[in-house]
Amino acid sequence: MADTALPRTTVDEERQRRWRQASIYALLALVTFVMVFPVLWMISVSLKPTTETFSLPPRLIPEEFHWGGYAKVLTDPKFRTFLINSYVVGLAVTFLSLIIGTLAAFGFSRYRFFGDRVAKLFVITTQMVPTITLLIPYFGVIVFLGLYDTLWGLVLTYLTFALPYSIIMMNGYLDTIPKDFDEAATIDGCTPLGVLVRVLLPVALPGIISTAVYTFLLAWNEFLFALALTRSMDMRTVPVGISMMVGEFGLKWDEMMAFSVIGSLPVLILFMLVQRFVVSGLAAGGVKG
Amino acid sequence: MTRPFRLLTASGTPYLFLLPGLVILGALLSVPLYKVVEYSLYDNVIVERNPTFVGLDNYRNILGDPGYWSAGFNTIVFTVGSVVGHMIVGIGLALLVNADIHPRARTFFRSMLVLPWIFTAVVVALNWQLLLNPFGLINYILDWLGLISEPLDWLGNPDLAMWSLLLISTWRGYPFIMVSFLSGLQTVPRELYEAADIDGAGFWHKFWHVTLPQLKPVIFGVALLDLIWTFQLFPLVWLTTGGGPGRATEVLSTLTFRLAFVDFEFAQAATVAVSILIISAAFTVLYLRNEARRL
Amino acid sequence: MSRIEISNLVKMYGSHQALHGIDISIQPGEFCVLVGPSGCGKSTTLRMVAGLETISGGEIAIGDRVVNGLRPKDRGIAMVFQNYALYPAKTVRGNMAFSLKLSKMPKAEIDRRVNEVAEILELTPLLDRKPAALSGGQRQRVAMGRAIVRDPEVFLFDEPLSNLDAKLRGQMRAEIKRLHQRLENTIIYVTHDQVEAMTLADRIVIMRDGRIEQQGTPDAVFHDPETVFVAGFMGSPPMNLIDCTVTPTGLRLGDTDLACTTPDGLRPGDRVTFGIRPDDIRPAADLPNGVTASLPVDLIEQLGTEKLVHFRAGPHELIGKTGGRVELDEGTAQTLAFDMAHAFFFDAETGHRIR
Repeated sequence: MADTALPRTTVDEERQRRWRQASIYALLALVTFVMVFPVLWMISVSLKPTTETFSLPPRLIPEEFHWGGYAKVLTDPKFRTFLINSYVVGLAVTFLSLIIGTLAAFGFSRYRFFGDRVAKLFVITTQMVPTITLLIPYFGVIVFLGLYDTLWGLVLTYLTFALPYSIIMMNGYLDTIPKDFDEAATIDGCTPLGVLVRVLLPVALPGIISTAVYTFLLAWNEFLFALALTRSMDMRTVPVGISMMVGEFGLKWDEMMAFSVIGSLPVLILFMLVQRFVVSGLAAGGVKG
Repeated sequence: MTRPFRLLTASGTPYLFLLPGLVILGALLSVPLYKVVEYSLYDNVIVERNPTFVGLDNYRNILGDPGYWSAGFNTIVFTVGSVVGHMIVGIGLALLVNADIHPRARTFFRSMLVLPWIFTAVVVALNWQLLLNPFGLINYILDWLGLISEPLDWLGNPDLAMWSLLLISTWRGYPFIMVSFLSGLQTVPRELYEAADIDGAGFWHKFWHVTLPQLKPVIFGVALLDLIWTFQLFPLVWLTTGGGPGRATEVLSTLTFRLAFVDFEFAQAATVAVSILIISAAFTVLYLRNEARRL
Repeated sequence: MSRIEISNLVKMYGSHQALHGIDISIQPGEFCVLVGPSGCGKSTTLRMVAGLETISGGEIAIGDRVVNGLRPKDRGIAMVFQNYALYPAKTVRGNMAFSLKLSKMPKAEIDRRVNEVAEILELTPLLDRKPAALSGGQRQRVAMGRAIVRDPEVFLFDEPLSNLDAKLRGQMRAEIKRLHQRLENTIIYVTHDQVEAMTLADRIVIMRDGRIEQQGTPDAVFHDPETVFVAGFMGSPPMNLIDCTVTPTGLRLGDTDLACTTPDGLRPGDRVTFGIRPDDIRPAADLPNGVTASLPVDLIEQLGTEKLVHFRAGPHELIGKTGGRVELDEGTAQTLAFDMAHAFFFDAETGHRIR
């Protein structure tokens, strides 16, 4: 064999390295399977008739795909309403939060002014306010504003929760862009807003994408305020819709899981498409505040 | 030489940029916070038009209520247990993903391992209720392995419920730590590891003497954030166990919700909410001190 | 082409004064280089001319207009940045056309100008590339092209070559010089590199701690420095500057006497800073008319065409020069000749030149 021409130690080292690599892969695959299993099981259960939900021995891949749960959920206009509501709220919050948050982040990133540190600490602090503490008085505020049981009430609420993250994440991104661009653009004739829109935003696109996805995720998944600030079926969002199925459908696991899958799909797809940006953005914003 | 961008600083330009954001945050946070403190000083708020001012009576009631103390104790167990779980699993997986493997494989595993973080709490709760069901998969596997002789009611048994909750919370929360730690790892200069290699350090040596010291501020910051968020966590607990069985997993946030929206004791609820706020504020100050150095 | 008049320019950062009344008068078409160590205020001055820093006091006029309150785009200037600051999301063409677009110039005119400038700078084949796909030298040329298309009255350069490697820097230096000959615009150019300053400038302004040390032609500041700082800053290797005592017959350098004539104002026993460039200290054979002394040589650096001779005079370290082929031994005493016709004397206290 050609290998014998190599010094003995090299062969050993190479073998050792390969073995180590293989064991890392095996370990990773195992751990990942365990961690992702609940998700796989959700999909599995959604494709089985309720009678087989707990049948033994358990099968991850159903013997026969049962689409009844999906059929039921997809034809019921109630579920369509939940989905549309979640999209409306999620997109509105994302859009508003990006605009307002980016403006503020630009102010923080590009200017030193009286009170800048205090303002920044204030923004960070707002991330820490316990949502459960806000819940009771929020009810009063939203009723006072005439926004109870409307999607706009939810949009405004989620905007408050999302803004600190948008500001901090975008600030983190803008800080990585050298100020030379601002100066070059100023000399080229841009106003401060022009600098932001024409020069910085194209460069900060990954940051905008990750901030947008994070904001959408936050709005899409929120449960507590969606439950408390709406009342009618027409205003319910996906998480509340799923939670109501628990009482309503009793043990219809196939339908509950089918709707859980459908309700998670938008964020799942979004996340998979841009997860590269989100992961780095989360780090830039969440951690390096 | 670093120069701050001083153009036009004399004018109000930066304030204009900040105005919309700060107004929304200020109005929608400060008014409710003021309100909740006010509620806690009255009796019969919200349900009656003219509540009566009772001073600190609500606080006296709450502090004399064993239910409050047991919820407080559960909150500590839940918070500390969750954060420890997140840190161990999160850091462990970050190190594993960061191992010397193909970049494509790394991206794949990383995306997969972040998954638990992107589902809404409702779905997480449903999933685990399914798995932890007495007839569910986990009991089946433990039985098959011979670890248990009869199915356990993981969420229905008061002795097991908190452990089950911690398991779910760990699964749910480790990705944030993992991702933060992973991105922290990228900032550790490669030369430090190469120097350690030349000095003959093994994996654990490098972890203890290079990685951890370099990432100490990151770990501290992330752990505090996690602590603050877990401390006030509501949906996951409410949707999995509802604070039960009995009050076995009742935490301060579920107690607040129960008092307000089940018992309609809004003043009592506001009082508990304020106590959550005060404790969060203490942790927040700690966190801000850590952050302020980096601002 | 415009003249630039900077008078009594002051910059305050809070209570810290960064510029202490700068006066510079630049003629139309003149190439003016601001040079000095970092923190001397040269970049601040340039940025105040550009309008990127507010003016705390004094006046800047470009052409016949005082530009103090004007926005950068209205000052008739264009600027080339140290890091180029090319917009990464735009192509080379987009970068060059950006300012013209903002000023609402007709599209045909923009195209004509961009193409013309691209031709001059040999950027035509690169016009549709993004900056990330360019080499350092190409980026540098795009940055200059972006400035040139605006046809400004004044070009401002902020250390434009400091990110290039030595060879490219030499090429670009020549290119900038040629461009100036062709376009004849007024230029203010900031650098910390005295070689760039010497080779490019019509006028050199040497700054230090927010003040002007000396300004004049490259010849003047090099051969006729006003202060000990200028003498030490210009030239590489730097001028030898030695504290010594005046004697009745000349100078006492450590434990060596140098016979020479000293300026009239100096008395025996005075402390004085004696300055002489390495070129003016050579082995006695090279320089027959010099004042000689036998001094220990402890290090020879071979540069190729010449050698640097490090030697000691008492506690002082000095550098002399000799040809690259001259044989000289380290560690032995050599007879060195000082060309006292090119020696300088500075006040040991104030650093001012004594003539």
